[in-house]
Amino acid sequence: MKKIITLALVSALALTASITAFATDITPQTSDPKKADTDVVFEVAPTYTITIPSEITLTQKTENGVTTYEKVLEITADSVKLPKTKQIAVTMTSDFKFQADDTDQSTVDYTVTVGDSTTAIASGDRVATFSTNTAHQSGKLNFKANEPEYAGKYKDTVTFNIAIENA
Amino acid sequence: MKKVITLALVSAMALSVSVTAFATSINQDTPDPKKTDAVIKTSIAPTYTVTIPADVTVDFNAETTTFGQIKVDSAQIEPDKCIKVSLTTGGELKNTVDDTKVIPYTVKSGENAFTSATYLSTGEYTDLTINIATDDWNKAYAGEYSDTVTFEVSYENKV
Repeated sequence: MKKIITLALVSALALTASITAFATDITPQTSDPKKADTDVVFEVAPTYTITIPSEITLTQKTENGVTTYEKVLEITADSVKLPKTKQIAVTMTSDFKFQADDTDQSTVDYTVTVGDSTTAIASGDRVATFSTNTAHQSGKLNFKANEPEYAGKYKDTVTFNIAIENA
Repeated sequence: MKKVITLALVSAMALSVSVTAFATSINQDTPDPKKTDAVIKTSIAPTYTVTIPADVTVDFNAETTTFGQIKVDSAQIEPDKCIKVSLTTGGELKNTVDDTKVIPYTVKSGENAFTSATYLSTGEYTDLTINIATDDWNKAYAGEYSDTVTFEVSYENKV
């Protein structure tokens, strides 16, 4: 009879122990002051959406008799939530040369400036920085080519890299 | 008055289209490395302006008369293309009263009869002359004579 009761008590204890992962028990025997700390933890994962156009076409612009081909490429950031000490850096790599699709493979140089800057960037330079902000953010890149010697269709591919860095 | 032929060959893709149709979105779940390519394009439509000789009056008994120039006043063409100017002429000045009475003539560039020429860039030109042999002058009836020549400008592949 005693054996049966003991087994039942052990089973009940095992069942109880499997439900509670971490806890502090305070009993009458616990030293004063009878208190315990509980860590309240929650995690907010970083989120962000960076949007970059897949393709842009420069259009002709003539000013004071000078013809250039220009276009603004806009990089946008939405719902950016990062740790306080972090920010998003966008960099761009390019050889800054349009290649024509003709048989002679003629090339045309172009420049890229950021925002209101008049200084052309180099390959690998930062082109946008985004911080935590629920509002829509954007950065603008100005692509510009001088009038080429030859007519034709010109194309180049640039690469954007996104990284989280210390602010 | 010189006749100016200006042709702007505007392709369907030239100049006006500037709409960004597609974009790539990168977020925190995008696998590393987080990067994307963008294609940068532009299209330059070929244009050129060619001046051809105007009307000319040939003086009596003149064996050689300046006929002006074919000149490329401006050109921005594709590197594998050329501008071709061809001349069509009947080779005879016809009497305005009796067109059976003719004076043969030749349009020349230098010493050679001119039929066509190709051009690649702004500023290129060909000087032309009207040439009538002395014998043909001597055989000619009195009166007024005229003829019309036709210059054809085309945009072609380089030979």
